[in-house]
Amino acid sequence: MKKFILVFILITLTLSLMACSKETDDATISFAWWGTSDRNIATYAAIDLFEQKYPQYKVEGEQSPWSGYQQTLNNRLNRGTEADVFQVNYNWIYSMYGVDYFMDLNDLGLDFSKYPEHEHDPLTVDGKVLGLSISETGYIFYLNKKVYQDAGITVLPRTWDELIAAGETISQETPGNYALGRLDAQQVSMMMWSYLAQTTGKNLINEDNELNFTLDEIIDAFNFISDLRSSGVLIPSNAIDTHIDGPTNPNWTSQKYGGIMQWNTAVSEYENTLPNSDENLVMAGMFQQELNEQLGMYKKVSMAYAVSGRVAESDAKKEAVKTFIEFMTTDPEAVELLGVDRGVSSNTDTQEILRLSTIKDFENSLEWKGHEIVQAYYDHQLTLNQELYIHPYYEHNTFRAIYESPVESFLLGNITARVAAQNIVNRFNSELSRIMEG
Amino acid sequence: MVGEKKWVPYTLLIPWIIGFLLFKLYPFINSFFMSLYQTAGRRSTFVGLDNYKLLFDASGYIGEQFQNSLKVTFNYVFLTVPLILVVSLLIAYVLSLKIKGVGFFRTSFYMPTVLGANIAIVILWRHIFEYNGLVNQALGIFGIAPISFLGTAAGAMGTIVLLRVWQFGSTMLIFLNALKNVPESLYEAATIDGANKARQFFSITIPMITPIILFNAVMRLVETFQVFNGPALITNGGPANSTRVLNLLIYEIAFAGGDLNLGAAMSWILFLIIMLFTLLIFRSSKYWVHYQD
Amino acid sequence: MTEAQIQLRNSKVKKSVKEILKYSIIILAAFMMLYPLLWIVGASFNEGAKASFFFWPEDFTLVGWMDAFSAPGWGSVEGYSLFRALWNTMQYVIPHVLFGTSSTLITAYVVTRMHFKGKKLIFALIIGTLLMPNTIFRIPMYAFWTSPLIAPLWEGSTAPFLPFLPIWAGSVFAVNSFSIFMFIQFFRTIPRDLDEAAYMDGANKMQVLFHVLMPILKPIIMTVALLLFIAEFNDYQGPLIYKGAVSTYPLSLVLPSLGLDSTNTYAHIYARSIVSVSVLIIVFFLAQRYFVGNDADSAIKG
Repeated sequence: MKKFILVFILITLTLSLMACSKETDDATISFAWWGTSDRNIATYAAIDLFEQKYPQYKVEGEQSPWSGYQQTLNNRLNRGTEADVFQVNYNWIYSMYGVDYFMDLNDLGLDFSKYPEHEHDPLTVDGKVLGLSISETGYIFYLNKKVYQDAGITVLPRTWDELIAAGETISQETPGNYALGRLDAQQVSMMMWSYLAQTTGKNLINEDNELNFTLDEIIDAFNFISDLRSSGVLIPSNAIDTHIDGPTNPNWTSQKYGGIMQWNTAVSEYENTLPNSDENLVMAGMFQQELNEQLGMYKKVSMAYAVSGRVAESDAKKEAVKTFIEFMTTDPEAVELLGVDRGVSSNTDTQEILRLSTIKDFENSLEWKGHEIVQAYYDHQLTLNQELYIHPYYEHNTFRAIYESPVESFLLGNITARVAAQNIVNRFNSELSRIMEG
Repeated sequence: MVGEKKWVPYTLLIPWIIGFLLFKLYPFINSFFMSLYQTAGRRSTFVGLDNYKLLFDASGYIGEQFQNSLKVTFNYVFLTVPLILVVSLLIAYVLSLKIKGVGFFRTSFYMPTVLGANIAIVILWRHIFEYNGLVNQALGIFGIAPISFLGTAAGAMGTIVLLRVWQFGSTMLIFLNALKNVPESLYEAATIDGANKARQFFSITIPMITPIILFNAVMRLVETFQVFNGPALITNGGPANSTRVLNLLIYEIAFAGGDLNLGAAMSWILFLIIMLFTLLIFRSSKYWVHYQD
Repeated sequence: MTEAQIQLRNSKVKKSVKEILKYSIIILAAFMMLYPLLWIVGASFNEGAKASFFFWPEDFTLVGWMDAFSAPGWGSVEGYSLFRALWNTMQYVIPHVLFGTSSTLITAYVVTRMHFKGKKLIFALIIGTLLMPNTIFRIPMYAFWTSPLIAPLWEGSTAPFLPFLPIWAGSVFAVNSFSIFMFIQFFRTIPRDLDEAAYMDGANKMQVLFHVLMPILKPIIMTVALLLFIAEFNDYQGPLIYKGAVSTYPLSLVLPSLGLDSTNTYAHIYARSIVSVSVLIIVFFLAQRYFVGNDADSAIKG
């Protein structure tokens, strides 16, 4: 046994020395992102291309599934072992103390001139730009034409009333089908805030970081959801469909559910699981109160590239990282490879490359169409003095439960609209201020 | 054997001693200290009992979640443990009677224990209990309307409890062993006195195996208080937090959420609860456990 | 018929009824135990998202099995095969079983067969830690393993076994009190005559253990090893907490993420699940003769 221990210790030491000697030098860039097969394949291809064009650099790509990415990143940031360049969600810049650990991209010498003027304002803290916007995104509807056609509907709904009428038709003609189907708490919450933005013109959270809606307004939104559930738009209760994952839900793949509400940058997952999706899945924007309005559109930076504070210490490293990021975002071949899977970039040069591309018709992709509507509606709202940018802490892990939890209980039929609304109102402000302080 | 080198036992115990100090004593003490701090990024500050105050402040979100998890965990424990004990004892008793092919039955009851904890099976369980899953289809054959197992609080809890009770095999084997050790002579004497099988079961069998019942009860109690796989993979704490057991909440707050200090505070409360109940059971054992010596 | 004959017939009927009752209970129970497992085998051959109650596949297909090993399963471009995941699992299961069994065996041997000061204390500590819940240790150990000093030892390491060090390191130091407990109980049933005889012949403690007692210990060693194997093979929270790059995902982490990719049908999922479970079954049956033999007295009678 003693010999065992001795040998074990020796082996460990040797191996750990081997492990330790692997250090990242200035010519190696480590890059971490999350994604599914398509994105991973495209990213690796772009990385290979980069190494070909710039043979003096090496890139260590680290793919990761979405689940657990945040935990790992958080963990590595705490120890200072994060990758050089890493993909982040917009709100992580705040919740992960970006101002302490991320590098100021102004320092990197990146060209921000091709981006809209205020694109990077939400990513700027204390004057430091902590992330490079990859794309903007909005939460919109996509409809499966086939479900509507099967019920004899040829013109897709554009207003809520038309949607409700469609729901009733669908449930009569094709029982078991729904105009939309199953939406989870996250999606229903967003739908409620969009609806309320249309009726009240207000953002969910005001500049004082407080809830902007009154109790009655929220109850009204819940009642609206009930209307959708009783008219065949949504399933009557989330208890009858417990399949949590949207894209693989058998009701979606067998085309019983007529639509989804999703970030326009994340629609490809739903596209991929549908048969004949290129014919049937249609971008439907945001349903309106009245025809020809353009309201209720929230948006945010979907994801950004952040750079580790470590990189600032070496000029050579900064140069390497700068070259890599510029390559991934503006190099024509790379841009075509990466496509619109991470959304449509706000960089005008990049958009031009995508428009002129002969490989794929990016402009007709669901992501692009969604992007156009999001931007159009959002700009229109600005003319009406409505600023519906998504608050940086809206999607914070523990904070989001404040609104998603009551909504989920409501969707399961466990509590009434009034109780759910009261729950939200009671907790909202206190939790938000607690989270923002910590 | 006396006279041998005195240091031999101590040297051989070095691994265990290191194990105890590094993997048990150190974390035990450290977790308490961790619970007294709060961390922001790379900085930790001492906050005294603030974390605990947060946990017991029912008006705050964390406090509400913690209380909910306590309730959920208690529900789970006090449903599962009695069920396991009763089912495994019953089946063990039936197996202890003369059964043809007892080896086959024993293996088939033990199989779920071996395989059941595997993630593949846990996931299978979710597919079975989904709204259009195996169980609802089976009910459909009998003309019963589908039940939303995963969509209702009771159904979800039942699903998780069932998963654990399905794996009663190891407890059953222990009972089987104990039943074999009850002397035949006692049964013979009772039969002569005219007692029937049922009477014998309650007056002889059960009292004789109470030490094993105690052992199983305590082991299962400690284990079920820390359940994780089922709630995490089958229901993900839902629906509406009705299966968010303590271990899952700790995982979400400490590991997924990054707040190790709050997690440490929660672990300590969990630990104290487990110790409390273990002590209670041991105390109560005076009244119902009959030891041979 | 005479009175006696009627009574005999009645009691025979009663007995048969009891027999039928007895067997139907356990047959029903056994059926409920095993049917899910049978179903999953059938489902792995079945095409189509909706599987029926009856386990025989309606749309027979081998695609699930053929792709089980090779298809890019979990959002990867290099198609990390199932074997890779299996190897990852083995990288912490094998050290855990080997070190765990040997370290707890030695500890139990010392505590039961040797005399030294502090033996009572150590014994009490072993029994005491038997009931301590694992959760209390997890968080500080996580902080320990991910601290800047210790993390480089294992994180991102390319050597075998090391990337999973936090998961199995404890086994080297006999942290599994239940195993020690099982060994202690077993040692108590072995009479000391054999030991004494060996000492007479001039053997020392370790020689006694390895040469004299080892044959008798085989069943309990296999039992403990099997239990450790099962527990560690099925561990989910451990690898979940310490997970690293996708290429190091063990089976426990791979299986839940299957089915989220549009390339996976249920047939794929179940085929892979069965592969994962087969390892357990194979190991179980291999070690079973020792395991059942452990309750040697009762098993033979039964």
